[in-house]
Amino acid sequence: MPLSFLNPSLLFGTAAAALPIIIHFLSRRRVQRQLFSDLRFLDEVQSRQARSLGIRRWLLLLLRVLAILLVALAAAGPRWGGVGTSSGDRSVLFIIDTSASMGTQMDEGIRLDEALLACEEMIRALPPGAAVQVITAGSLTAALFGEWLPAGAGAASGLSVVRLTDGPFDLPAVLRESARAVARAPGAPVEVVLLSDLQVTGPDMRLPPAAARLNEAGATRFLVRRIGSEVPGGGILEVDLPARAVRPGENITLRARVLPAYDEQVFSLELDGKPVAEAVTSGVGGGPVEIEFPVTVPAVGLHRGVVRKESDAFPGDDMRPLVLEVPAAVSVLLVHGQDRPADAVAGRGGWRYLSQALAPGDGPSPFRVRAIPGADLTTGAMSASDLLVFVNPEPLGRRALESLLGWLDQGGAALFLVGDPTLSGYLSRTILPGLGLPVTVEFQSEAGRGQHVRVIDPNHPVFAGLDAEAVATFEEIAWRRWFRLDEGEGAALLTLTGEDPVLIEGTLGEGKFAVLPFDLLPSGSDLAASPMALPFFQRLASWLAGGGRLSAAANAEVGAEAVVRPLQPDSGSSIEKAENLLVIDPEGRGTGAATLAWQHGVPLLKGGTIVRAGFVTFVAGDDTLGVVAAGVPASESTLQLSEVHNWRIMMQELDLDVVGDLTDQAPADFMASLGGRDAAPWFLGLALLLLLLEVWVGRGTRLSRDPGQGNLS
Amino acid sequence: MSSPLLTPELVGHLGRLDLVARLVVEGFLTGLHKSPYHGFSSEFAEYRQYIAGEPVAHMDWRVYAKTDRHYLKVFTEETNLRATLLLDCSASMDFTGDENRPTKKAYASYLAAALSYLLLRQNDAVGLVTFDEAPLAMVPARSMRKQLFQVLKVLDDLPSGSGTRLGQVLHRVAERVQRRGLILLLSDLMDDPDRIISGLKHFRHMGHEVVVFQILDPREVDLGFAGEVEFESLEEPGRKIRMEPSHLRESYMQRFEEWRATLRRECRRQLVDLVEITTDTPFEKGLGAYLQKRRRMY
Repeated sequence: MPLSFLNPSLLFGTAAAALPIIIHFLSRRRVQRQLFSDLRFLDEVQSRQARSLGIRRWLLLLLRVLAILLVALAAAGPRWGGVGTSSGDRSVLFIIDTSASMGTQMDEGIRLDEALLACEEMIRALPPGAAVQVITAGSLTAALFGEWLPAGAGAASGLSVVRLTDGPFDLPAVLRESARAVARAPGAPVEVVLLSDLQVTGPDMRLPPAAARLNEAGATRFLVRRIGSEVPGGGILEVDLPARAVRPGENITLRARVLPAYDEQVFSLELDGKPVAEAVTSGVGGGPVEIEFPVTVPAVGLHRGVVRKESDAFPGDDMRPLVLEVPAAVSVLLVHGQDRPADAVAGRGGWRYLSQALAPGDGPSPFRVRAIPGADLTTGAMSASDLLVFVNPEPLGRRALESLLGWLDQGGAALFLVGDPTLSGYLSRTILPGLGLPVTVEFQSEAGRGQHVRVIDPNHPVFAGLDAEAVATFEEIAWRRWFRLDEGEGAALLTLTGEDPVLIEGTLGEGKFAVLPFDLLPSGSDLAASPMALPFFQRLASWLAGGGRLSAAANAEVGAEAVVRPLQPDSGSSIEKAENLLVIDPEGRGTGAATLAWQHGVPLLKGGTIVRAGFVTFVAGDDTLGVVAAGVPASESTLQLSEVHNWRIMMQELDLDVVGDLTDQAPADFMASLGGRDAAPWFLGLALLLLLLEVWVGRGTRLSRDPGQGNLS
Repeated sequence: MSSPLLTPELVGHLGRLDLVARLVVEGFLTGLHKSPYHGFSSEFAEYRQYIAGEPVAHMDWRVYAKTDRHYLKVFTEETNLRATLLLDCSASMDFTGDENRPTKKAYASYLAAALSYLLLRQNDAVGLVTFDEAPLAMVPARSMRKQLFQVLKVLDDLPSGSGTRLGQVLHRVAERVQRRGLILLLSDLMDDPDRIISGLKHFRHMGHEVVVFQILDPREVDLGFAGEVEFESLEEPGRKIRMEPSHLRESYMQRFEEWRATLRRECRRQLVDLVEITTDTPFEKGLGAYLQKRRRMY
């Protein structure tokens, strides 16, 4: 355990330890001559005890020297196990967690109150000459002071502006901000004091580079003070909005994952300011539970809603906003190849059949289908669509393919139906690699009845709600020609009895896609003739087109960027010509102009990082172009806290050194960990012990009565 | 009375005390001391019943005639005490641990003078013998008033002595003090206890009552010296010991006490009164305490 001194300059006092030695030798030279009556007793005792007394004399001298040495060391402010420098020239960086979970109630106030109080006391406990910087880490991670401030009341009072945020504790951002602060620190190494509830966080690929950056900025030593303890429950972790496009009047179920704080906690759903459903949890503990709200889909448009919970120890997530988009129609762009003779059987197979299946001409349809040959595919047409459906398409050019993949990456949706054996090369060399699927393609053909299909997951949104009879009817469909594919990173929704997948879903960036390795010709399968064909394709298209990011209604978390795909203004002008594109924050204040960006032909409105929970609204004049519902991050609602020990291990893996745990320490004793524990009482106690020992050893050599001739040596 | 040794204050203080001899000694001057001898010139004390076989010289025939019983007259003669002061003048008696205190020899001479005055006032005979390795001066015991002058003259002019051979000296003095009486020895007793006791036995054998005043300096008792000290013997000039008394004090005091305990035990065994006095004890107070003790006992 290292020993350091607060006042090393006072170590010169250790020279006083030489006093007994000097006195000893001086007194030896100053011999007093004394006539004495009779020397026989002196002669006897001297010869008997001369040796032991000599040893005792040197022992006494040693004890006196050590005792004085210890007193002198105690005066210099010795500290055991200090991690800081011995002098006051230290730089201390405080990181205050202002994330939503710091709003959890404690016995007195919330966690952030305790963190701020502890930070203030620590700053005041710092010795003069120390420099202080504070980083607040919540929705935004930023340094509190422009420059490092000297420790003292000024720095402590600066904490008064720190407020709780609805955002998460973003450790990579904290490390990056710390790197900037450390690089400008007046002293090194920098002691970094983290005051946080240490919520459990998952792995983050951004951490290693951020930690490396901090290590490059300068030497740091972390001290951690965990604020608060675990409380039961948590809150509303997530609201699952429909993963497909919904129609007005449709009965759907909204699901939410919640962490109940107590038994029979009531959660309620409001849409457009009206309560529409309620759910009560049963039991507590054991992790998140799923609750359901039956909802009838309202009219076309953007509908704001909230899921509320009965308040508990963490009020930050008492209300989780959501926005539900009910589209007027799903815009489907059907890209087809050339008609083949078999396609002439319109309505029973081929792309024409599919077009009619999605948008029957005999009634209102949730789909608006536009069919074009592959050669006519443009970026504009693509960006105006909610779903691209390719049916045996002509091979796309390189730019068209790149646009398609980029559009998918941004949240687009695509369905590929490829059953023409002549397209196997195109399928294996272009489409599948672009989607990230394995490239093994093998055309399969089976005579006679062929194989039947099997539904892998009846609860998948494509099949959810179908009764058993419908599913059985679907599974009676026979398949005779198909491409054998490997599902790879995707997931098979349908397989044949021979286990070959015939419907594979996958994601690319923010987008969704599905691959059906066959066409709709009657020679290939009986699908087109099945009564389940129409609901199957409508569900599949609805699922692919719904729930993506490319929507005017986005559900996000605080800390994310507010991005929507804007609705066209009601005024009829194009989005490019819309004036006064503004962002309205959850408090109803305009926070500035929205940024319009085009990505792969898709217009996106960006409103910057979301810092408060609620609704971020994009407006152009009187038109609402998009709404982002931002909730407190689910990670904040999970009130499971990490131990400092685990946190230390995590930081060690990032080559960051956590040297102290301040959790159970009074903030005023902060210096004990930073500069070590005060060892002065131990030194003084030991000195006293040595003096007592000196008295005991020298008890036989002292005057029992006052000799009247000065002091003892 | 002009001697500085006997101040009026000292005499007045001692005047309130009575020295009563523990044993009845031989004497022939009237005084306060009881005599074991009953003679013709003795003062009638009491009657006691005659026991067959006793001499009939003191039979009171008148009582016999009147009562037909045999009673003897018992006489108690008032005699004076014959006291001899033995004063140790050896070199060790020249020690003082503090220049403000008298040497042991000076202190002993005060005590001797006081005792002489006291005894002479009671018509006791007082003699004085000074000695070191051998008797130096001797004033035979007498009870005359001018005897005090003789004693004080010797005490005023005590020589610086040499070594101590106390045992040998006591034997020689015992041979010269023939008549039984009180021997008052004033010495630091810095000699072998066996030899000292041997000399004291001699006095006891001669029928003397012996009181020993052991006079010590406080520094001899506690070795209260600080720092490193080179001690030089007064009795053996040139012999030196260099030491730090603080380191040896405990052992020294233990050994010294053993020596004194031996003296106490042997004196008690020989029925010799041992009075231990240190020179820091107020002179009058030390003497008075001794005389009070004697009076209580007898």
